Amino acid sequence: MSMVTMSLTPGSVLSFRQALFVATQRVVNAANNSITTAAETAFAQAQDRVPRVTGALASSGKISNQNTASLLRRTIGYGDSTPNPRTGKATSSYATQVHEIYRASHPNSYKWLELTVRQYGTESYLHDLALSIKAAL
Amino acid sequence: MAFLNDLVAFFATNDVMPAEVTSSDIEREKTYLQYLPAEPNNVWCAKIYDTDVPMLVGKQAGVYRIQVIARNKSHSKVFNDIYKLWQFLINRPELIEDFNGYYVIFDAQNGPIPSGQDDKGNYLYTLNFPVKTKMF
Repeated sequence: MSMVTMSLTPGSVLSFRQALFVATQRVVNAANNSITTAAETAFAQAQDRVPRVTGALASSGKISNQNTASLLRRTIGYGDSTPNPRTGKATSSYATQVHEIYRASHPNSYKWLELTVRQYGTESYLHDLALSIKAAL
Repeated sequence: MAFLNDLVAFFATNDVMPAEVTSSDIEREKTYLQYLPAEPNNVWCAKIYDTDVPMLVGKQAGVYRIQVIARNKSHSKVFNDIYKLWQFLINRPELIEDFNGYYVIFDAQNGPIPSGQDDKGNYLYTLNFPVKTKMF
């Protein structure tokens, strides 16, 4: 007959909870870094495809950190209040149309952001995320 | 473009999109496949802009990513029309088996996107949605 004896004291429970907290923080930090890397990679690829006439649209691209208490999120977006130097229009007023409507003058730029994110791939992102978390533990 | 022909015909039958324009049509304010013509103003365009090829894990089904563009001089007209199509899609999330010999599943994840006005002042709306199908 074999026996295992476990003794729980307030101190040991506290120590266990602290260890869990540290491990959780490591995982969250690793995931946060990984999602930032994924967003930066996708954004760099999107910047290679975004149509450039004056460069205003490309300059308006940015990654936003939209983390909440329970969610890690990055948003890549184009279009802001910066005026196009040629037309004076804010990039936000035409970014959607340029993204959504195919133009023969910029055939490779059609849906530059959506297709970039899809081609970067959920699977590669998840793979990188898993490696980061594994390394952190 | 057999799939796109069938898709537009299906929407036209259900009265949520004009029928595909043909070469003999005098009335040209209909739906164009794969390209948005310069004229006339009030038209629709349906295109396949991306595909996921069938894979074993996907039960041999593939995905066509569809973009629908509606263009019209009237903002209320174009908005109401594209909204009607979107509502039709989100009310048909189930498997549709009688789709010309194969099945489709509509997966409208996002609503219509206001895409501003073109150089002629026409209002543009786009609607993007994947269609899962075993017609490959």
